[in-house]
Amino acid sequence: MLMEMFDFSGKKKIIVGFILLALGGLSSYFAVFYYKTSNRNSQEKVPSVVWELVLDRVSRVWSGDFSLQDEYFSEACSELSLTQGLDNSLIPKSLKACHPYLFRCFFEGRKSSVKHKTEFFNYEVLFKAGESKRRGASNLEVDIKVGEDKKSFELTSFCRQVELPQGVYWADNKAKKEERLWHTSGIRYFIDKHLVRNLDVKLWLAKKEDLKRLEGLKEKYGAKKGKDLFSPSVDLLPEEMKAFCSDRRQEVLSSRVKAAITFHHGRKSFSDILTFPPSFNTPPHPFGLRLQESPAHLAAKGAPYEKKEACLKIKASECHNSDDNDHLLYGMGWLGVSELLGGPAEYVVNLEFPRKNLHPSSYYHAMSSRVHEAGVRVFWSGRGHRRIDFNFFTTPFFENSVDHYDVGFRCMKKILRSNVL
Amino acid sequence: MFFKSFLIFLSLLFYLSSLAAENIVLVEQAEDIHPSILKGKSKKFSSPVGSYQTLLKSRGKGGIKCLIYKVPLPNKPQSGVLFFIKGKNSCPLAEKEKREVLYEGIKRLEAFDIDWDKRFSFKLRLNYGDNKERVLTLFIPFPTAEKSYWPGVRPIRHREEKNRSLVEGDICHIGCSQEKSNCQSCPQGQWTAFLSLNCPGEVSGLCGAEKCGQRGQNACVRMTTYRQRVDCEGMKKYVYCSFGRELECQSNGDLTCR
Repeated sequence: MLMEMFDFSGKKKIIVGFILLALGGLSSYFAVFYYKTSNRNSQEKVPSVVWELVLDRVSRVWSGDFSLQDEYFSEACSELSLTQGLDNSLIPKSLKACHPYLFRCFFEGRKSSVKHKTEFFNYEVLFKAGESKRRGASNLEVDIKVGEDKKSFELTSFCRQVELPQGVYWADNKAKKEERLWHTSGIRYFIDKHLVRNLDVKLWLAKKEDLKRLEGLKEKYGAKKGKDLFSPSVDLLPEEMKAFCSDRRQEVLSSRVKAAITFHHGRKSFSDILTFPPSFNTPPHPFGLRLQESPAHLAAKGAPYEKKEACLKIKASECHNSDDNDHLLYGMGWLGVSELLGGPAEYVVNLEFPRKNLHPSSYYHAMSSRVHEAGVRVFWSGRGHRRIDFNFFTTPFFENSVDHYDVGFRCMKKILRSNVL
Repeated sequence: MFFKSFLIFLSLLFYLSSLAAENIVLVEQAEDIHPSILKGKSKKFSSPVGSYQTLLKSRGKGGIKCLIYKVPLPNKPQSGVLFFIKGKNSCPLAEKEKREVLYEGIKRLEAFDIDWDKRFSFKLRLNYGDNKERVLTLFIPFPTAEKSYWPGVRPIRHREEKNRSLVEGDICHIGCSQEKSNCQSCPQGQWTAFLSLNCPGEVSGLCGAEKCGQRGQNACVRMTTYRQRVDCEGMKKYVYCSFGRELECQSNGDLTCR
């Protein structure tokens, strides 16, 4: 029957034969074309495993795992005098992490390669000129080119922030304990892990035109270099702090969120935060469930404490400018946020009590001072950094004879998670 | 004789080539790959009966495209359908006319030969009709949105740009309205939460920073409540005004400070 189907005669044979030949050829071509494009991966222009090696490298650098003394990096960032006299081992990885400017210094124009088996594959990270056009984008968008293959990626700021778990927390000290509680209520709070650094303010000032007292600040920050760039920024006034955070689509940390993260969460485990209220005996420090876990508590009681360990928790006056004990990062609490007690005093926004906008715990107070506790608040007029600009009411004032007091700050972001709870 | 054989050979070649072309599917920008396929195990999709199983989604500028398998019902063993369907933010399964049917009359579907290490592909074996079988290979170009080996580094996803731009003072979210929040579209992402007497259980949002607690402004939120009806006095537990100011309840349910 099959043979009868093809029983043509004479000219028809030739025509049919020709048509079938053409169709056969065309369909084979398309089949091969599909197969080739579909099988691009297994055809291996750039093997997937090479992409994995490149992305490993890129994500490590983005996570801060690189040396500031890297030759290419120091030259690329030379106008900031970033690495002048800098010992890379003194700068914690987390201060270099998720930093678009540092990442760009490391990779822009740099020709790198990875080795797979016996072959070297070149790769390059390409940056887009200008700010991202996508509204709301706070991540860095780059193209990564491996050989002839190019793909687009976004680098998220996951390592700079941490989210406050949903639940009820302590706010500032008040007479009635019940009035101190507040709930996140479906609002997601993303809190910066560190205080804002001099480097970030320096970069921000370079782009800013419309602030008062700008020239003085620009000059001051222009002179900062080396390790100082990784120290907290302590010279801004509240209006400038708010402008800085707002330009990053964030806001200055609020007083109640600061209290929430500086008190311990007060529950048996992290996962209990959503379902249980904090204990009324929650210690006023972020280091653990026992009062004794705070060196300030031990010092106040006259109990012995280990200085090195204490300074890693609270940067009090005994720790400041002391060779062994002056750590760039200290005071990490239960949420993974650092620099909560000691260090420069911290400005916070307080909508309920506007005259309680400063957490005074600082390196101007000895370890035994009662300011090194969560929820303590005093007033800063925000007009300057002199004694006259602060009102501590009955709280012990800064113990320092010089008439200038550092005030640091950090940013946070609020996102509304609708239709929740 | 020779000519006839040659013609048969060409026809077979044509048939085989079209077969080869048909069985390979390239899926760009894949995400939400079915968890069983993502885990790298082979999987027979036989339950729940009558359900729609999303095998994967592919996101592009125009919206998303889903590959769906409708599991056959026990009383209709050949009612399985494998189809693509497009949508803006989600796949409208109910709209049958939007389906691009790949195969129907399917009795059994199995995912197998799943490889996320080298080829980034998996195969679907379909049994349909009278014991006919077809194997479909899906290639998902590396890297996929699902693979997050590298913290902080991910392929660019196309996101819908919201057309509505808000200004300071605009309401960016109405509590209890079932609508998604638009507060990220406020200028510089700054917004303030507030509650209403009509909706004490869910936070609403207003564009602008620190826009609560002062005279004439909304009261700030301390916490929401599960209680359905709360009077003005009762709301004092859930909202607050700046020190020295008092809560005022407006006739329209607004809670303000004076």
